[in-house]
Amino acid sequence: MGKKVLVVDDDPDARLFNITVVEECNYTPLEAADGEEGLKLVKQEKPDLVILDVFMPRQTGIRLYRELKTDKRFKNIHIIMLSGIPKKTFLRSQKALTEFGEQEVPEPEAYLEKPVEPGELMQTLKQILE
Amino acid sequence: MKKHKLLLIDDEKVNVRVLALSLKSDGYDVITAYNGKQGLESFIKNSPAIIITDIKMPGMDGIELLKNIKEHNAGAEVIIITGHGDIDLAIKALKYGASDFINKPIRDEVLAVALKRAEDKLDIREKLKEYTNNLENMVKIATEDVRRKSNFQAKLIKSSSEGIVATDDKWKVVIFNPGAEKIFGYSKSKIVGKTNLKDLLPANIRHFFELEKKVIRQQSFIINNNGEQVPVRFSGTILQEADKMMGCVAFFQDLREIKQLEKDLVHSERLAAVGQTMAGMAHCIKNILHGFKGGSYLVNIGLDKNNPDKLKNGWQMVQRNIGRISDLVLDLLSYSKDRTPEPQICFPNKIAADACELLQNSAEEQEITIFQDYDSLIGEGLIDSRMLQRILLNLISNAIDACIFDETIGKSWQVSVKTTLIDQQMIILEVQDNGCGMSDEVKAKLFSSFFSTKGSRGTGLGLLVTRKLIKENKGSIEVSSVVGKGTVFKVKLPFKAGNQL
Amino acid sequence: MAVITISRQYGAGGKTLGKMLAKELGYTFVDSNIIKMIAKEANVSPEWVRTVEKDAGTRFSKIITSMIAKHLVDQVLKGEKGYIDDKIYLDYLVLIISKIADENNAVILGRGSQYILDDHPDAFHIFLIRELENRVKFIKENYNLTDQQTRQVVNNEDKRRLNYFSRLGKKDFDNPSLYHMVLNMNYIDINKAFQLICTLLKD
Repeated sequence: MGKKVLVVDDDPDARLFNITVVEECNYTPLEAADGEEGLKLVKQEKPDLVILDVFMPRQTGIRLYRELKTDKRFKNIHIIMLSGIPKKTFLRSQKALTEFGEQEVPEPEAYLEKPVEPGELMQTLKQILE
Repeated sequence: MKKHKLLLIDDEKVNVRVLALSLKSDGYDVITAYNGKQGLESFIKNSPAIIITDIKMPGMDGIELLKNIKEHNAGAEVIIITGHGDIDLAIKALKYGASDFINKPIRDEVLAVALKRAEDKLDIREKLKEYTNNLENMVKIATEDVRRKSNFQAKLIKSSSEGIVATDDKWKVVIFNPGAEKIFGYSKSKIVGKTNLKDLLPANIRHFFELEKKVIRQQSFIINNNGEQVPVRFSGTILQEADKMMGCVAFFQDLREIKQLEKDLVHSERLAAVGQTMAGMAHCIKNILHGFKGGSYLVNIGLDKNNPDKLKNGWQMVQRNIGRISDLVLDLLSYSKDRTPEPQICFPNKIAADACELLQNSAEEQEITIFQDYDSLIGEGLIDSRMLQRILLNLISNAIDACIFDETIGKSWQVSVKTTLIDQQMIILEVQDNGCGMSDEVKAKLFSSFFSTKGSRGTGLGLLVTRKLIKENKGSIEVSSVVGKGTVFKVKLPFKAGNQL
Repeated sequence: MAVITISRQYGAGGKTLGKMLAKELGYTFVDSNIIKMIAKEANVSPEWVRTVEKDAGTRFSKIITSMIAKHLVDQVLKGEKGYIDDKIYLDYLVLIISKIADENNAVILGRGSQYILDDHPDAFHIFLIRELENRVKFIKENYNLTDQQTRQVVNNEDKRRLNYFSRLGKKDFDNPSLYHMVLNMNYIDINKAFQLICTLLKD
C-alpha cells in the first residue's frame, strides 16, 4: 500500500486535480473540503503528507498548518502548501499570529502557488516522500 | 364655582347686617357700606363684581351711585333694592344700566334669582372677553405668520437655484428670479414687464402647458440669450379663479450641472468598483487557471491511458472553468463599458421561467423552493431580452444565496419570482426571498461597492451590472429588506406589448 | 506604491482622513468593508462576523467559546455552511490584511494593521491622537448626535478598542515607536494631515 496523501481544498476542481496527481504518483489520496474536516482526517488516517490550501471556510489552512506544526503527534507529517495566496502573504499572516501571542511555527517545507503545473506538484511530492 | 365678590350698601345698618349674614352663609365674599359715598369708595378700592344697593339713601342716592359705578366699570352688575311704589325710580335705574331690581322686603328666592342672573351675565361676559382676546392673539399670530411666509417666499424665490418665473393674466412676466437669469442669460430688468413667458418656452412645452394648464417635471431644452440649448426640467401651473386665468408660475431646473455630475459619478463609481474588484479578483483568477490546468491534465491522462472516466472528468472541469472565466469577463466587460440596449420581440414570462429553471437545481440542493407567478396579460412584446435574462439570473441567484446564508433552523425557504403588467407599458419584476435579509448598512452599500457572498466564485459585480443594465434600459430598481425576514427586489422596466407595435 | 495604516482613537478623524487619502491617491480604502471580505471567505453572513468582532475578547465571548463546543454549534447550524469564532476571525483578519497589503496601494484603518504589517517594506504607519473633548466635538459634528450620546459612543469605542488590543496581547498601541508618524490632531487639521502624509509617501 502506497503512502497516504491528504488533499485539503474547498474548490472541488482543485481537489480532483490534486488527487489525480497523487494517484498518478501511486500514493493513496484522501480528501477534505475544509480545515476542520482536514484535521479530523489527519487524526484518523495519519497521512504521510498534506497538500493544503490557505483560504477555506470553517477553518483556514493557516490554522490547520499551525495545529499540525505545534502538535507533537503530527510532527512527522509533511506539508505542501498549495494556494492562490502568495507565499509572502502566508508567512506574514503566520508571523502576525505569532506576534499576537501564538506559538511560533516554522516555514513550510514546500510552498506552491496556484496555478501549478502537474509536473511540478508531482516532483515536489516525490522529492518529499522518497 | 368660586362665588363673586359682592358689595352691599344700605343706610339701614340692621338691613345690611342681616342681608350680609345670609349672603355670607351662601358663600359670597361680602363687603358692606352704609351710604353712597362710602359705597363708591369701597367699590373703587375692592372692585367687587356685583353691587347690591338701596335706592333711597341720604347724600348720594342709589341712582347717583349707579351712574358713578358704571362710569368706572361698565361691566359691574348692579342690583337695585327698591321700596313699594318706587317703580319710576326702578325704571330709571334700569335705564342707567342696573342689571335688576328687587322689592323690599327682600325675599331670599327673589334675591337668589337676581344674583344668579347677574352671575350668569358676568360669566358670559368673561368668556366673551377671553374669546375676543384669543381671537386678537390669533389674528396677530396669523398676520405675523403671513408676513414671515411672504418674506420667506421672497427669499426663497430669490435664493432658489431653480429658475422661477411668474406672469400676470396676460402671460407678461412679473417675477424673474436670479436662477432664471442664470438659465436664460437675460437680466431681470430686460424681462419683467416686457416679455411674454410663451416666448421663452420651447414649442412642445408651450402647447402642452396651454392645453393642460399644468406641467410637472418635463425635460426639455430652452434657448438662452446666446442661442444655446440648455437642458431643463420644467414644471408650471396656470393659476385660475372661476375659469379665468389669473397668471402663471413656471419653474426651470437647470440640468447642465446635474448631467455632468451624473456622468462623472457613474464613471468614477465604476472605475473604483472595477479597481477594487481587480485586486480582489487575482485570487479568483488563479483558482480558475488552476482548474484549467487540472482539467487539461486529467484530459491528457484520460487520453494517454485510454481512461474515459478521467477524460470525462477532465473535460467537465475545463468546461466548468470556461463558465467561471466567461462569467467573470462578461461581468467586467458589461460593467466597464456602456452598452446600448437591444430590444427585441420576445416573451418576458418565458425568459423568467427559463431563468428559474436554470437555477432550479442549485435551489433544490439547498432545499429552497422557487415559486413563479406570471401576469398572463404580459404576452409577446419588445424588451431587451438579454438584459432581462441577466438581471433575473442575478437577482434569483442572490435570493437563493440569501436563503443559504439564513441561519434560522427549520425554516422552509422560498424564492418567489413575479411579473406584473402596468398600464400596458411597464413590467414590474419582483424577486422575493425569505432568507437572511440585510441590515440598513449593507443595504446602503449594496449598489455602491464590492460586495459578494458567493465565496471564491463571486466577482462582486453582479448587482452593479444589474443596476447598470436596468438604468440603460430606462428602468428602476428598488430593494426592501428586513434582517431575518428576507428581501424583495422590485424592478420596473418599460415594455411595448406586441399589440402596440 | 504604498500601504498606509491609520491607527487612532475614536473621533480623531481617522476615517475621514483615510477616505480622503484613498480617494486622492486612487487607493483601496479598507475599513469596515473588511467584515464583508471575511464573511465571504468564511462563508458566513456579515452580521455574524460583526458580532464576533464586536464581542472579541470580552468576557462574555470567552465564556461562550469555552462553554459551547464547536461541534454543538455545528449541530445547530447543520453542516455545509461556514463557521466563525474569535480564533477563525483572527485568522482571516491577518490573512486578508496581509493579502491587501501585498496587493499594495491601500489605506487600512485600524484593526491591528500596524502590528500585522509592522515589517512590510511598503507600509507607512500613521497614528492620530486627539484630546477627548475634541474627539467628542468631532463626532458630534460629523454624526449628528447629542452631547450625551456622543460621550457614550466615544467611551464605548475607547473601551472596545482596549478590549480588542488586549485580546491581541497588545497594550502598547499608543507607543510612538510603532509608527512612522504621529499626528497631533489637536493642532493639525485634516487638510494639513493629508499634506503631511503625502509628503511622507513621496519617495
